[in-house]
Amino acid sequence: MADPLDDAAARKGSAELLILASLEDGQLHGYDIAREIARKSGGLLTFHVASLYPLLYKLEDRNWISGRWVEKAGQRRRRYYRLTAEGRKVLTTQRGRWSAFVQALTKAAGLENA
Amino acid sequence: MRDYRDRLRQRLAAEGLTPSAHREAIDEIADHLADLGRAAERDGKSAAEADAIVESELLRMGPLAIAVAERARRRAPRSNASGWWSGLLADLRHAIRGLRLNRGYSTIVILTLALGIGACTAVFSIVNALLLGSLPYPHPEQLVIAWETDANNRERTFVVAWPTYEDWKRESRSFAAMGIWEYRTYNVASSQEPEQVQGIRTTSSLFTVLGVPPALGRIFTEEEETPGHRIVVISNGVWQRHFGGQASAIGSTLRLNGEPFEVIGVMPMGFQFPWRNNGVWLPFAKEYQDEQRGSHSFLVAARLKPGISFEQARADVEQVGRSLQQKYEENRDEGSTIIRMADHGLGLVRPMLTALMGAVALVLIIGCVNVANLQMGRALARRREFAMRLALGAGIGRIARQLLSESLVLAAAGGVGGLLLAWAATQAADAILMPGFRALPYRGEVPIVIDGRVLVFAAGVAIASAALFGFAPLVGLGTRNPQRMLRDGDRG
Repeated sequence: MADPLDDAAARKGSAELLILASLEDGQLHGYDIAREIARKSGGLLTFHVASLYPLLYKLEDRNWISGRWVEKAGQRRRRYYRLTAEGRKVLTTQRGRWSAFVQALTKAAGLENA
Repeated sequence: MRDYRDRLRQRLAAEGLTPSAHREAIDEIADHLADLGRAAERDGKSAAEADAIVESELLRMGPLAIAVAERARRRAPRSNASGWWSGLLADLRHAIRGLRLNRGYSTIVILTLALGIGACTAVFSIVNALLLGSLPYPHPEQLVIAWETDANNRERTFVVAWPTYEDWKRESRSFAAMGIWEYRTYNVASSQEPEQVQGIRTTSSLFTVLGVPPALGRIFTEEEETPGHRIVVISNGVWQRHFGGQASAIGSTLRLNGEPFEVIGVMPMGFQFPWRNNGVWLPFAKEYQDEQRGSHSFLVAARLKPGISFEQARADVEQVGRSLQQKYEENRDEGSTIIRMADHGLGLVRPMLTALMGAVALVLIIGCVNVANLQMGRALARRREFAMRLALGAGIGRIARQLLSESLVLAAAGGVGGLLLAWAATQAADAILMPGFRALPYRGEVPIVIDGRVLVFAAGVAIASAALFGFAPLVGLGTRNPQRMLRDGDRG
């Protein structure tokens, strides 16, 4: 199997993983997804509008997430995204791969001593 | 709360997107931007600083515009077969409207195509009549003409001697029947005006070879092929002229070269063997000089046995020819061969028509290239339209269908014009061409008409032309960036 984490694919893959993980606990709209990722990463990882929405649309197209318009009392209607069953499976698989990769990287690059 | 919809629309429009077609995506992203601005103000930023933060998000909108357009395209209802056809119909209607608006352009293209298609179709209608028509006999593929030849060159054929015909009949294994004939001219007289007609003396087996029974009466028998039997089978034409088409003609007397002959049969209308104006068929009645090996006077037709190929039969008869060389002094320099009956008499006509067909096909291709050029020029002017449709998520296939629809409309109009031209040309050819040119051996005078095959040909040529010039503007479109095309289109 090709290493899923090399070069551009890795960067793209990591962004997808971040979005999937942000939706693990429930549905969020686009702004909240970006905010959740920034919060959990201590502000290190941020998404701009121009990069977040193309990714959301792509994941939705792959049926890993699904978006729907929700209208709450006293608020504007907003588009919320949630994980699909398939997206949940992908998230588990991707976590396993990234975890193995990070462990390998830690060992190989001596990251624990850094 | 600030509304960023307008600003977002402007930025996306600058990237080639039509904002009105993507209202939901713009609502969603504008809300996101509003949330950003609000959060910045909550964090203590001034309104201007919050606005600057939002503004920084609005840079580099190209990827977002593309993603929004692609998403719309993916979400468009999947085209099924009926949807595709109704879409094509809509495209065709749209194309007709568009071409009506561009009358000058349409006229030039249609005239160019009409000339090309017309020339092709006219020549094809001659090819169709002369080269593609089949012989008017059952299983015409089994019919051959046998020749004597130079010993070393089967292409140099000459008429046959009776004894050789007898040898072929006896020694070959490939033929179901074989018949021999000799051309004669007769003065025909009845109670009506006398006339001179072409005729043949032949064997009854010739009618077995051809598989055509008389329309009235009978054919002579093998026993009657001896001198003294004054009987004749007449053509429909002679029957009409001399007997008024009456059945009482059978048993009547017809004077041939002054001698009385009994009419025993009338061949059906349209039976024109071996030539279109053959009027009488008489029993062979072999004479002394016919039996000489050196007396080459006759033509021989044969029908292959079912299951025997032309090549097998030819090998067979050529082998017989070689054995005759050994046996007879007179045959020492002679061979034997057969040719397909359908090919006989097309010696010069075939290459001439093939060359003519090639020439007019070339004219059509040049016409198509010219039209393709015009189309390319028009496509350049329409780049902005294509770019807009691509940006709106049309997809290259959708644009190809639109272009093809326009080409089909043009080609159909050109095809109809071409058919009219071809019709006029065939009428002229019918009038101008000598009957001799149109009269082929064994099948009579061939009418040059626009029949089903010619119509199918013209339609095929029109569609092929549409494909040839219609897709030219698509070249390179698939690899172009819609945004860049939109910008270039402004200048184009």
